Amino acid sequence: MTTFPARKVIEVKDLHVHFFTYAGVVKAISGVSFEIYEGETFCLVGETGCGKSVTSRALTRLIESPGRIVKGQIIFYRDSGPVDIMTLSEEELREIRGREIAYIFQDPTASLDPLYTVGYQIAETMVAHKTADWKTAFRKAISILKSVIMPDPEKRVKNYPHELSGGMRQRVVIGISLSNKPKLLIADEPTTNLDVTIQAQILDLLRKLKKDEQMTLLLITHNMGVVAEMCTRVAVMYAGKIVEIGPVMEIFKNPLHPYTKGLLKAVPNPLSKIEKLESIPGTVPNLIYPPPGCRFHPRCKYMMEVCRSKEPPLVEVSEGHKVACWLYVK
Amino acid sequence: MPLASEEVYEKKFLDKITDKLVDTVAGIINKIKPGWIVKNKSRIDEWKLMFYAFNRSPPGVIGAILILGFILIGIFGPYFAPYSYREFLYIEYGETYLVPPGTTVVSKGKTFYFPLGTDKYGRDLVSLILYGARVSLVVSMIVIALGVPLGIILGLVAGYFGGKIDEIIMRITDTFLAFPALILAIAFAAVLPERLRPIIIYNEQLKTILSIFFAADPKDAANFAPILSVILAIIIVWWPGYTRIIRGSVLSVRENLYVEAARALGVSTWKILTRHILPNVISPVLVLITLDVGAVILVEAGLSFLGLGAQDPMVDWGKIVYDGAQFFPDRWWLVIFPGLATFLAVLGWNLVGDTLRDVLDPRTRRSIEFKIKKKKPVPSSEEGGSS
Amino acid sequence: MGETLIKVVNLKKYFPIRGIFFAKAKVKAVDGVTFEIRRGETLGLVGESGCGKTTTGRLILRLLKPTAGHVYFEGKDVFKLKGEELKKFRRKAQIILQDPYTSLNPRMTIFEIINEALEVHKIKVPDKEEFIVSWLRKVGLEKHHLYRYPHEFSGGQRQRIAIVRALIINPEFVVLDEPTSALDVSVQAQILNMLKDFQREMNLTYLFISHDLGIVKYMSTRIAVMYLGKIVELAPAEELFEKPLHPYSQMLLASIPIPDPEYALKKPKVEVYGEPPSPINPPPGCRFHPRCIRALDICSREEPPFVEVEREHYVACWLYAKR
Repeated sequence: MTTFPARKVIEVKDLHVHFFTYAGVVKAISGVSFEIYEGETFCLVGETGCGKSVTSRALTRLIESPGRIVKGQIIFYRDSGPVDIMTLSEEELREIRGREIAYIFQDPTASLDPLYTVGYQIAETMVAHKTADWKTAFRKAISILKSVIMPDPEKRVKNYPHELSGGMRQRVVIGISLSNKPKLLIADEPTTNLDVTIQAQILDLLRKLKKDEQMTLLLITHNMGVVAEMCTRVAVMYAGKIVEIGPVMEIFKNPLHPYTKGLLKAVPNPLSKIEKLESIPGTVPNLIYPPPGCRFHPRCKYMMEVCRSKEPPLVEVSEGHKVACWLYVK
Repeated sequence: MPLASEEVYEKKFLDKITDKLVDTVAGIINKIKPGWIVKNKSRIDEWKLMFYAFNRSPPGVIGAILILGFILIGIFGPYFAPYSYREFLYIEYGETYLVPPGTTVVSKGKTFYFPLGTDKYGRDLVSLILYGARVSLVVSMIVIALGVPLGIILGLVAGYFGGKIDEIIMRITDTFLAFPALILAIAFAAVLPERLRPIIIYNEQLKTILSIFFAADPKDAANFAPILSVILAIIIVWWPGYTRIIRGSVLSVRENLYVEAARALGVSTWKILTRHILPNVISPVLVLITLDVGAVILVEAGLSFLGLGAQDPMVDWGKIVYDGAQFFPDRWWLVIFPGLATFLAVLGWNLVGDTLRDVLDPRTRRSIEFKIKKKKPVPSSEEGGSS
Repeated sequence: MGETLIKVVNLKKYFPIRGIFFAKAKVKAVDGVTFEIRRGETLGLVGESGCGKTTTGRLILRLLKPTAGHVYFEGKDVFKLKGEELKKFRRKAQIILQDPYTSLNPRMTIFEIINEALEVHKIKVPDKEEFIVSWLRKVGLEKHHLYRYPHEFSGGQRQRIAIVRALIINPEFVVLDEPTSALDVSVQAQILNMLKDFQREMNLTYLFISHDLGIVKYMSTRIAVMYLGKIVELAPAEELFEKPLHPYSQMLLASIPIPDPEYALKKPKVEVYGEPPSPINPPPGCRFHPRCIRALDICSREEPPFVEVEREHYVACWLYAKR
């Protein structure tokens, strides 16, 4: 088990994000709190609608109407000291975005402008953040492509996105996000759209780059295998809340929350002989009218009376391992 | 989401009317096919929802009223006309020549009141407009009833089968689209009547049917030919537009998995076209049809204004303007009133068409829908039932 | 194992890419595939995008016309069937598609969607409604769902409706084309278990197409690995995972993220690199040779034959074939 330095990179306190749609108010995130420490790979894992993507975007206030961050603090520990992202102006935020906190999204094709060459787009990020002028930036672009293990970088730098394969595009996107040497890299399902052999290469690349650049990585995924291979700590989200959080070994060896247990039993491990996959009955709840009490209770086989009416708090069960479930509250 | 049947809506008075309408239609179908209402409850609810959305749009409702007026006047107008279109009062009562609106004429012991004035034959303008409504209605309805299905069928075939068939059909369509519509229509309207006239005159049944349609005197049978020619001319230039639109929609719907699933089941091509493809491409067409009715009325009026279409003594709105143009602007009523009637009819169809577009597009409809719902529907944490 | 239900012989499917006047080039989606499916088994078909697995599934069901090759169902050539025989084939061979959000006609009620299947194959039952409801109950739905529209249901429920539509006509063979890829993990397990139960009850034969190796192993008796339009390895499921022979299979298995963090630490490092080349211009000889660390000289010149290396374990690789 890794011991982590006490230095935090970012800290989220009681975050609430609501979407004000014509169908009603979708409470996408209701009271999410966690910290990410320097040098670790932190995973947010959950199924569709759990709020993991929204959380990642909220970290730099990338939430657009009809969504709004209605409550909470996001403390980002810059080199110059901690700041609450919620209090920053647009100008200050723009300095952080793309430079100190960088993103990689799920669809590399959508993240690249089809009208400009790949080299141009890498250079553009550097020029925009004033880390280099155009001439230097273009030269650096080639070395960045080398660092993301792009085959034939001198040729590729002049290519347009559509001339590259999915895996190569994702490498370019990673290159762009790393060009300004960010402190925190947020990767939102970076390999979900890619083939499995390409996925393995991209994940490898991320691991290597994280080490070389001494970055912190926030990885969002729904794939438990990716979590096991990449992360040091993981937070399991369900219906807009964190239900369990802890070091990755702990969570896999000793899952506490019934949802976490269910998730792990529902995923087939190709290395072991599985007799039967266990499924979780029911479906993800409607976040406009979430169930009262614990949001998982309608699907939980350990449900008790209290689960129906009161929301369980996040309690620490062992070192670093917290869970939000009435089964573990004295 | 709460089940559709559990949702409660804030209903307006208009909604209750449309609800009754939908229920009546459903009841009739139920009599023909027993048990239909139970099997199609979701469908009925959806229709009602679409009406609620429609009712929320004031222009749409105004348009619907105008259309209703147009159709009712078109059907029943001629029977309520104070005078027949053949009553050339001028011959006997000379003072009825081109009198302005609101005049009362007393002549030879008879009193005539003309609320909208008279034309050069002494015919009451109100009656003329009522008769003209029928012709406009019939012409636009026949053009749509014949032209649109033709366009749709060709579009379906071209889009679904692709390949050579698609090429052939689209090249024909492009050819027709390339023709300047008006010139083509004029050509047909000028040449065809000669051919059609003998057919109509010597066929008694045809003569009778057409006179009922046009609310005309069988003696005017010779004049049916030019009107039919105009109808045919418009149909010929009209269908390509539909083929293009339908083909485009079919190309995308064809790729949907439910079409593939139907093929895998072994469903016949005909059933795939009618059951799976057609219902999913029809929405944009419905909008286009309503907008087109207005356009056809205008085209038909235009052709009549050029002297094609209805000939003396038959009238349609364009013809009244044609006759009255020479007296404009002194005897302004002969141009203004039929023009106003045309304007209102076309406006009605356009307003309905626009509103229909908003209602039928699921995206815009949702936002209208949810404004209607009561603020506290039945909460439920499951969707669509247990799983 | 059971008798042979389906025999695929040298099946090819090329898609022309339109130039201005004539086909500029051909996408060789499936390029000479030969295998058997035995009654009662589940044959898994795995591979990455562009390998041809989806096209193969569609070809077997005659949803596409082959460029060359044959498919025999119960001994009869599928592409020569006509009329009644074709109808019978369609009843016996069904498909469940990937995307439950578009595989049901949004304008038809559930009753109409399922009833269509019964109508097409003229299946007569005394009470159609009750019959369909009984099937809905088998998949966990209720009677009051019968006259609703697809958009009122979740993805998992829609997929169950699609399953009822395919199975209610009592087929013998079902192609499952990535049936759970569009669903969440927790729902996925429900659907897979349901499919397994049905297979047992109705003695069905499955062709399970997927890119997710974990699921394929859970569902299949034998697995075929495809790469760029060809089958490179075919073996019983357990054996493929324990002893993958083809270098591509090895690369593929090494790439799967394993949900076990301890194993992830001590995992042997297998070189995974390269990208699948374009199926328009596949490399000469063995298609995998540009990415293969163990490539021999002959690999770039001649295509390796598909040989049985151990019992029921076939590979197309020069490392195992006699030269």
